[in-house]
Amino acid sequence: MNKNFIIAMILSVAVMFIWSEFFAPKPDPEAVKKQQQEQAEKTADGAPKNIIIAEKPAANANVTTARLTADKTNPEKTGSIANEALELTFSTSGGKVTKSLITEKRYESKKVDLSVGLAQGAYFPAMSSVFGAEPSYELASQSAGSVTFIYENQGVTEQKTITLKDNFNITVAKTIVNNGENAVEWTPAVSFDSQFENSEILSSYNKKFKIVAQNAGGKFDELEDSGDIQDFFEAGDSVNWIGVNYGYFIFAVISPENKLHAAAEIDSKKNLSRFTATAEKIIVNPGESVTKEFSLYYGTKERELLKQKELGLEKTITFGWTSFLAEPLLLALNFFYGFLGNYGLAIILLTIVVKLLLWPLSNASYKSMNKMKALQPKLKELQEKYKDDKETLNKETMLLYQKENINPLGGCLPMFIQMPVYIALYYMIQNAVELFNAPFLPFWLTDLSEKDPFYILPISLGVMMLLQTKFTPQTADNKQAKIMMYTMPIVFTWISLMLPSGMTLYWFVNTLLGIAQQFYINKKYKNA
Amino acid sequence: MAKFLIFLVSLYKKFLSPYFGGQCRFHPSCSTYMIQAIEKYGAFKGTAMGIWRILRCNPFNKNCGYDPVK
Repeated sequence: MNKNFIIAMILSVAVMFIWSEFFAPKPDPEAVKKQQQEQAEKTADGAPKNIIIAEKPAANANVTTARLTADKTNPEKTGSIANEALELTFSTSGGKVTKSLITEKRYESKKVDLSVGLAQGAYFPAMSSVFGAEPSYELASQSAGSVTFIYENQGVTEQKTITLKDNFNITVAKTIVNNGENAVEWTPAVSFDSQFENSEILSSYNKKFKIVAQNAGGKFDELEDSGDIQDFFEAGDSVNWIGVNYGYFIFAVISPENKLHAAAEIDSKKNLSRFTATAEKIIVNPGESVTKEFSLYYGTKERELLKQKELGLEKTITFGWTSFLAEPLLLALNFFYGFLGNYGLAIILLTIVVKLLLWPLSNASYKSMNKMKALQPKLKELQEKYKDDKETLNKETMLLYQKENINPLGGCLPMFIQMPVYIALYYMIQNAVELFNAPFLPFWLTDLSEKDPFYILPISLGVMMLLQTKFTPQTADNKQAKIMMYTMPIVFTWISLMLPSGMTLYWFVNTLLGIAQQFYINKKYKNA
Repeated sequence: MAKFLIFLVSLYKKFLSPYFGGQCRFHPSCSTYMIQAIEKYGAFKGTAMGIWRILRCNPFNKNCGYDPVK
C-alpha cells in the first residue's frame, strides 16, 4: 500500500465516523410529534395505559368484588409543595405532579424540571387506583411538604398522599377505605413512563436511557435500548429497587424490604420506556381499610445521596471502562470545586495536577535529551558510516544509547498515559450530574458539558498544538513526516469542535502547560 | 483479527506517530515491535507482548535499546 492510499483511507473513515456520530439525520421532528400525538390519543380515551387496573374480579376467588367506576368528577385544584431540594406543582386531577423543579442550591440556577422526561400523557407519581384510572380527586389537606387527595364513590374512599422527605426522597401512599357492600380488589403499583427523545435534561452526548434494577440478592441488572421494537425484563419477584436512569437523573422505586415485583419494557423505535413496580394483591373487605406506601427517589444522581440509602443505587453512575480513572478524577474535581466554586477552574487545576504527577516522567525524558546533545559527534559519525542503510543506522544508534546508558526522549508510555484521562473526562461529562450545565465563564462557556458555542476554544487549541510542534525537537527527517505534523492539530481541532468544551478546556490547558514545560527545560539546559 | 490489528497499528504508525511519536527508546520501535509480534505469535499473544513493550518503554527503564521480537 502506498502512503497516499492509507492517508485517504484514514480520512474517509474519520469523515464517516464523524458524520454518522454528529451529522447523521436525526429522527424527523414531524414524525416524532405525530407519534407523541398518537400516544396522547391512546391515553386520552380511557385509562392511562401505564396504570395497572385492579377492576377485574379474580376468577377463582370466592369473594364478590365491586366494580368501581369514577363517574363522579371534582373540579381541578392546583398548588405546590416543596422541600430543600424539590418543588412539586400538583393538580387534583389524577393526583399528579405537573412540574418537578429541582430547587437544591447547587442546581438552582439550572431550573431543571424532571417532568420533561415523562412520556406524553404520563404523569408522576402514577399509582394504581381501585377506580381504574386515577380519578379527579378533591384536595383533602396540604402542608409545606405534603399533600393529600381524596376521592369517594360507591362507598369506597381512596386517599393519595405525596410527601417530600429529605433531598430527593418522596413517598407516595394510598389508603383504601371500604364502606361499601362488596370487597374491593387492589394491586398496589407505581409505574413510570418516560420518553427522552428531545429532553433537555439529557447530555447531548448521551441520549440513551436505561431501566435499572437490583434484586434482593444485590444483583444489578440493566435493560438498555437494545434496538428491538420491544424488550421485556423481569427483575424477579423480589426487587430492592427499580428505576429509570436518564443520564444525570434517576427515578427509582425503592423497596428496602424486597417485596416488590418489577417489570419493564423499552420501545426503542418510539424511544419510550416504562417500568412498573407492583406489590402483592390486596382484598379490602367491607368495613376494612388498607394503606400501602411506596418510597421513591426522584432527582440527581449524586453519589453521596444515592449511597445514603445503602441499596447500591450509586451503581447507576457509570463511566464505562474508564471508571477506574473517572471516579478518582471526579472526586478530585469535586474537591477542587469545593474551594474554587467553578468547574471550569476545577478542570484547569486538575490539568495542572495531572501534569505535575507526570512531571517525573517528562523531566526524565528531557534530561536524557540533554545528555544526548553531548553525543551528537558520535551520532554524526554513525550517520556517515551507515548513510545508505537506515535499519543498521537505527540499530547502531540504539546500541550507542545503551552503551552510554542514556535514553532518547521519554519513550512510548508517557504519550499514551494522557489519553485515558482525556477519554475518562468524556464519560464523566456525560454522566456526572455535577458537570451538568456547569458554567465556566459568563456569555461564552456557560455550559462545560456542551460544545463551545463560538468555537474559540477548539481553534485556539489547534493554534497552540501547531506552536507546540514548532517548539518540540524534531526527530522526523523527511518532508512527508513534516506534513503529517500538521494533521494532528487539524484533527484535534476538528474533533474538538463537536466535543464538550470541558474536554477541550482540558486539552487546551494541557497543551499550554506542555509548551511552558518545553520552554522551562530548554532554558534550564541551555544555561547548564 | 491479526491482520486487522496490524492494520490499526500501521494506521497509528503512518498517522499519529509522526506527530508525537519518534520517542521510542527501543529498536525496533514499539509499533514495529507490535506488528512483528502479532505476525509471529498471533493476535492475542502478540498484542500482549506489544502492550508489555509499551509499558517498559518509559524513562525509568534503564535496559533500553536493541530489543527485537524473539
